[in-house]
Amino acid sequence: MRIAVKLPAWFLLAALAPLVIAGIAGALIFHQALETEGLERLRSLLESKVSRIHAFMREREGDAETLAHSPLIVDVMDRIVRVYSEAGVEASAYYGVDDEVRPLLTRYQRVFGYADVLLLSSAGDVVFSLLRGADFGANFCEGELRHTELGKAFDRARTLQATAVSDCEYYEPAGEPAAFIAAPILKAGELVGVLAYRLGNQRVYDVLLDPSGLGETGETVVVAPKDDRAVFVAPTRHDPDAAFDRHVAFGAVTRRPVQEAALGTKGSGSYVDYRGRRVFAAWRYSPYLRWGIVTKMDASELLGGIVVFRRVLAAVVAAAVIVALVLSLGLSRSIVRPIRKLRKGTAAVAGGDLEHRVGTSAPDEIGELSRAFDSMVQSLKRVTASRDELNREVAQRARAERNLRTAMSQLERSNRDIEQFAHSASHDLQEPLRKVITFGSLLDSEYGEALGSEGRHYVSIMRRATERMQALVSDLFMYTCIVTRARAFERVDLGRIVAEVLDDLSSRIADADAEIDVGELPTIDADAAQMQQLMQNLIENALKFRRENEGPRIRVYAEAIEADAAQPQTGDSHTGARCRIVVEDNGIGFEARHAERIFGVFQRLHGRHEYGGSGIGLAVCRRIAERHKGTITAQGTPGKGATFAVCLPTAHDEEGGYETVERVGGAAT
Amino acid sequence: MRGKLRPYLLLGAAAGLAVGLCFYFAFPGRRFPRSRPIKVGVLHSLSGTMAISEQAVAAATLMAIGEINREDGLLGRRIEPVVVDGKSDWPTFAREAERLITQEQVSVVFGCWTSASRKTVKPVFERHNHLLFYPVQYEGLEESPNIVYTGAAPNQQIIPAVKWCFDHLGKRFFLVGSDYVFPRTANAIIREQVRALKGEIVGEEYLLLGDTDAEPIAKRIAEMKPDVILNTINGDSNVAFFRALRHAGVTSGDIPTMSFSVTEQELSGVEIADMVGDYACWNYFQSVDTPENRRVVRLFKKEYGADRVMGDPMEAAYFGVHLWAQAVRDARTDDVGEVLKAVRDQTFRAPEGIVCIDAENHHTWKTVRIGRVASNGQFDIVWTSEKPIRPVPYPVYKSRAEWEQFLQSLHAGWGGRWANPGG
Repeated sequence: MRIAVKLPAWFLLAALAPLVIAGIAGALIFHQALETEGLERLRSLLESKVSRIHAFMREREGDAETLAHSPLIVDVMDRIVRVYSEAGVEASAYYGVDDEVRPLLTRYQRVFGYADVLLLSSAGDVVFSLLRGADFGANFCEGELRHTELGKAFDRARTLQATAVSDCEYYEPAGEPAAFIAAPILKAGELVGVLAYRLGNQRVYDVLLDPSGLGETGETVVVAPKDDRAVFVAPTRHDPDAAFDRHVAFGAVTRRPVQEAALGTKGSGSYVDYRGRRVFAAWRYSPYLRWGIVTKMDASELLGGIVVFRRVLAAVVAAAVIVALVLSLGLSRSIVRPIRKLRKGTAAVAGGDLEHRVGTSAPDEIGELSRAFDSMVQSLKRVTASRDELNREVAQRARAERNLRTAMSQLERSNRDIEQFAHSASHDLQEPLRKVITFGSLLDSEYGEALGSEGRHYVSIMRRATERMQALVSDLFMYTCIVTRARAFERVDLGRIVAEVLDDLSSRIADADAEIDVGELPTIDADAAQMQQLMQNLIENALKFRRENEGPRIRVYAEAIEADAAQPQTGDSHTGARCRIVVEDNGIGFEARHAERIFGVFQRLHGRHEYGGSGIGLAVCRRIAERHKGTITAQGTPGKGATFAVCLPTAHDEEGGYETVERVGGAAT
Repeated sequence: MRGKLRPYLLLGAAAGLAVGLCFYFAFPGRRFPRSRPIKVGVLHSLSGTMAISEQAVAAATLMAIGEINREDGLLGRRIEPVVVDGKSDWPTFAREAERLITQEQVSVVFGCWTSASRKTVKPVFERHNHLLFYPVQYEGLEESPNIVYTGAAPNQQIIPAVKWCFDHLGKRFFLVGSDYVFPRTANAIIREQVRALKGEIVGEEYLLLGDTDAEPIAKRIAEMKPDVILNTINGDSNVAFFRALRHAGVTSGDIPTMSFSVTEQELSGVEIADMVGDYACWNYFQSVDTPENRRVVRLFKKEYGADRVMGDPMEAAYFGVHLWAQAVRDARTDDVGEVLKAVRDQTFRAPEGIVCIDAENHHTWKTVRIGRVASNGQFDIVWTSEKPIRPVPYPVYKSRAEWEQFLQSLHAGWGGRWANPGG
């Protein structure tokens, strides 16, 4: 997945997960809190209602007790019972007594809201009634009326000698539900009668039905246990006709609170009420009227807050989604854009555009990466530039080397061609020259006469020139032969070679009265004939360029050369042991500037007439030395003598010389 | 693998620690709620003269505790009863009460039978602002914010019984009782009431607690021939008294006895034929016909044996435990101060009917019943108040101050005790 997608997704998840968890937890907690708080409210409402009823009942009890103990009632009770039993209720005597208490009791009735105030004799006869209803004159101690609530309250008041409160029941004589408060009237400790208040329901209903604190749907249900059922004894808010009409059988699976309250159990919770609605309720039992009282409220109202909470939560989540989305998109853009830029940069650089720069001032890691990338490209560019230069240089050099090599091989070829030519020419020229000389001699000898002296002179000049030419050609041939007629190397004792040379030159040495001092000479790998030639040329040279008035003194000796000190200036790759053979004379010498020139072919420092020779001798020496991978150098001082030093390798590990012979030889044929 | 796992382990440990700390701070009060049981004291005489009555009450208390524990306890905690023996000795009661409160640190004490024991421990409970559930009918004249009286007040037993006797049995009364605070006070009330009713008291005799020499009293009753004997003897002296009475030739047919401290439990200790026809006034008899009573009696017989019987104080002890448990549930704590507040106005469907603790005086709304001993050792109910009567601890005959003065004179007369030490 792309970061541009992944990041917002994670962001959304990270933002939403805690929110949703907290939201769900919050909703649960809130639900719980609403429930707890609602139940608590219902409980405290219930408690306050119950305590209001209890206070009301206690007041009525106290009121009845006080009135029953008032001297007026005690006094009147005594007399009214007597008048009632003696004269009946229609007698004027009765009215007299009646008038005594009626104003007081009427006031009580009005002030405290009693339905009726009754006086009963200790035998249970109703001897006084404010309303003079159907119960007036009836007896509540015996017969059917004994089981009415008034009858029971009378019995308790009499037996317990304390104020008694009846249950609230339908009261036949009044034709409506009623409860009674009965207080014993005692005269000197003796029961003379019972004062009874009939309580209208209105006062109690006012307390019970007071909907304050119960919201829109709350109501109070009052039930009393009767036989096998709990009977509603008061109207409810939603059913004004419920009193003594609605009931719930004990043991019924539904409406547990109503049953429990009626049976004396306290509690609170949620259930489905008689309207089929889910409600929250608190219930308890009130011992005064033996009522079960339930305060309840529809769950929908009680938990109404949760709906608001859910809406707010939904709005918050929606807002959070949007905010998270916007933020995460911004964030992912801010991350992805530089990455894309970087990627583009990478592609550009990969494509060879080393001028490309990502160029960011962002202070984060990607910014750092971009800057690092830029500086990497920078150094890449630098490296690439110097490499190119190097490449160019290398190419140039290679070209130059190639050119050089081509030139060298051309040179070598032309050199070889020239050499070949020289060899062939010097070889082939000898024959015609011999013929010229031969026939020149014949011409001189046979036709000398005829030519005259002038002719013979010319011929002799011609013959001398030709002979010189022959010598030159011969020398040249010999020179070319050093390479073309080479022989394989072998062990050559230079001492023997020098001895042979001296032997060959013995007559000339003797002629010149030369003194030749030969030192010890080494044995080396070399071409023996060429070595002989070399030594001969050098010694001959020393003999030839002697001073007029001084006998030549020639020293021939050898010096070993340290292997590692092998003439570095030659560039020779040969690093083996070398020896230096020195031929030293005390001849005419030469100027130092001529030290190289003297080794050139046909190069001469002196006129042909002063010293003979074609001027090829030293050239041959050098050529031999070079063929043996050696060198030859000359040092000289005019009039003081010259020293020729030949450096040669003492051994040739491979038949290098031979190869050369083969190669050159091959070229020669 | 190990190297890879370790950061996760560390992370997991850190997360676990964080979560643990969250819980630690979120629920500071109840870190190990289930590990700590709720301790309650059961303080009754398991030996001595009162053991015959009090052992059974202790048994009923423990039965109620067991019932609650079987239903997952209270607030998720088990109730652990600490049963101690008062040895029918009042200083022992006070000492044990002190120990239960300060050392055992119980949340409530269920206990006492005799008013002598209650009056001795009352200052202990008031000093520690603790809570005692007292399960026996008594003489009244007392109100303590630290005692919940689940037995009858005088207007729920003595007064209705006397009035009922007056209406149904006769106007000449002979009073017998144990010589301690309850019978003395009860008889004082009865005297006032009989005087008010214009009846006559022909004799008034006392036995020391635990005294079995009832012959002289029986003889005197036989001589005086009252209409009714009002009996406030407590403990096993009752057995001796009834034996002496029958021995003196007094039968229930001639002179019925109205007893205030004789239950089915005490009847099981005497020859039942001697007792048939006598009366008792209680709020509860085992014969009360309510579903709750049938269930509880069945449970009791199952736990303690089919031959065992339930009596009024046992029933009061039983529902006292349940009322307390309800108060604990309402208060959501077993803290004594909170329970004291929550215990007011508690109602409970007890075997005797619905009971309710009066918010004003800590006594219990109870139904009054008068029963006559039947040949099976049970009572036939001959009168009932039909509905619970509001408890009135101070009878109307005298002012509260006068009653208290009366009590003080008794206390002083017995040398600072609540029972006649005898001798």
